[in-house]
Formats: sequence, C-alpha cells, structure tokens
Amino acid sequence: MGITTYIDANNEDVIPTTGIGEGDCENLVTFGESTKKICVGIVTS
Amino acid sequence: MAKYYGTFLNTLGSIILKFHGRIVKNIGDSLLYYFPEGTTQSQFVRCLECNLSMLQAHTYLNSKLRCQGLPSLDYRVSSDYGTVAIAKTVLMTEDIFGQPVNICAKINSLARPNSLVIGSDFYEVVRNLECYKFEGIRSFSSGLKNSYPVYSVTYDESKIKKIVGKCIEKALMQMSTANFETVVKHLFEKYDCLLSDCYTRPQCLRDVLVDLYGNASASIMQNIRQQIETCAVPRTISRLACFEDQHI
Repeated sequence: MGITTYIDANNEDVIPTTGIGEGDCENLVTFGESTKKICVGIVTS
Repeated sequence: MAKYYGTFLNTLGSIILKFHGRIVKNIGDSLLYYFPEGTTQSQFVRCLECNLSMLQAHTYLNSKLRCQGLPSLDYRVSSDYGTVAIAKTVLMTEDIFGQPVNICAKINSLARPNSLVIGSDFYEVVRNLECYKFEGIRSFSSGLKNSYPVYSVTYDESKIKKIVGKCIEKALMQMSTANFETVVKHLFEKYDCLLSDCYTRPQCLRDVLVDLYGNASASIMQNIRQQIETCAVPRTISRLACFEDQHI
C-alpha cells in the first residue's frame, strides 16, 4: 500500500494524510530526472 | 461500504490494467491512472478505449453490485494529456504530479454521470481520430489555464457503421466480386440490410453467410473480423461480439 494523498481542488497542494509523522515530509517524495508526456485519467463515483 | 467501493474500484481497475494503464492510487472513491508511453496515436486510442470501456462496464458493474445486495452507482471519467513528473514516494510507490493531473481532477465534475470528458490538450492530439465524437461542453477556468476547453467523448456510431461496412466489403471482395455481390443481394432481399447496417445487425450477416457457405462461413467471419481490427475500429464495441469465434 502506498501513501494516501489528497489533491486539494482549490490550491493544488498535495497533502499527505496517512502514515507520515511530523518531520518526515522533507523526504516524502523523490523526483527523478524524468518527466513524460502522457495521458492521465481519473474515474470517480 | 468497503465491499461497495472494493467492487467499484477493483472492477474498473481491472479494465485499466487490461488496457496496459498504470494505476497510481485510489483517492477516496476515485482511481488515478496513466498510460506510460503517451506519444503515439495507438496510446491515445488505448486511453480513450480504456475510458469508454469503463463506461460500457456500467451495466455489468451495477449487476455485480446488485448480486451482493448493494445499491447501484454512477461514475464519471476524465482524461488529459501533457507533461507529468513521476515521483517515487518514501514507500517506493509511484506518484504523478503536474498540470494534466490537476486539470484532470478538476474537470471530472464537468462530466455527466457515466460519461467521459477530456481536456483541450488531449483533444488536440485525438480530434482527427475516426470513430469518436467530440463535443465541446464548456471551458474550465483556473489559475493554471484560463478558459481551458473541455470536451465530452462518445463513439461516433455513424462513422463506425461506414467503416465496418467497408471492412466487410473488402473482406468479401478478397473472395471474389461474385461472392461480394451475392452476399449483398441476399442481405438486402432477405433482411432489407445494407453492409453498413451489419454493425447494428451483425446476426443478419452471420445468417446469410451460414446460408450461403455453411461451415466455411466461420473462416469468412474470421477474415471480416481481422479486416475490422486492421481498420482500428475500437475493439470494445460489444455489438461486434458475434464476430468472435465462440459466437459463430
């Protein structure tokens, strides 16, 4: 299971909601060199 | 509740995987996914086909829920295309960030229940594809992109009918002109059916071929199916199911 995150529709911030303690956020994600042009999708009930 | 969303997310998730999409995560009752290589037309088609297949699974999904004594549900699908950063989380799972992701999330609510919307950047790379109908719904405004157009996507049934008709014609002409003319004549006289009508009435074609060619009709149907696949007509059109071997 990965870290559950919530994309705030108003300010585009990505807010960790589970499993992360104070002080851990500095290394929450690691961005590699690669950016890709890709298709993304979301399905919502 | 867990069973309810489990059925919803897992059913749609399995469709995404079938089309070689990659599921990033679920966000509450949503699934976020992407298609790893997105710069070729076949990948764009795969994304559209995946999205439309999820919508076509609506009836199946709800019957599955009903069997478990759960209420039915509706859902919306949105997609966009563009540059996305792929990040690794501390747990070594993957996450994606970028404007297409944010816009995709925000335009989702513009879709009617059980329909698909795409953003303008995706529309620009798929707008000339046959078989799909794109309809501008309204522009979306945010701090990122002002007046960003959004389009609904459905199958273009009339174009698909024509393409299917041409594919059948080509397959029959490969046999001989006489065979082609015989099939067309029988279709019309017996069922008042043109070749292009075989998209919505495939059983007419099957019956005529069985009447005319008996057991050999199976290989003719197979040739027709291959011809349709060559023309890149979406694979997920349920009406063409009778072209599959098991239905012949």
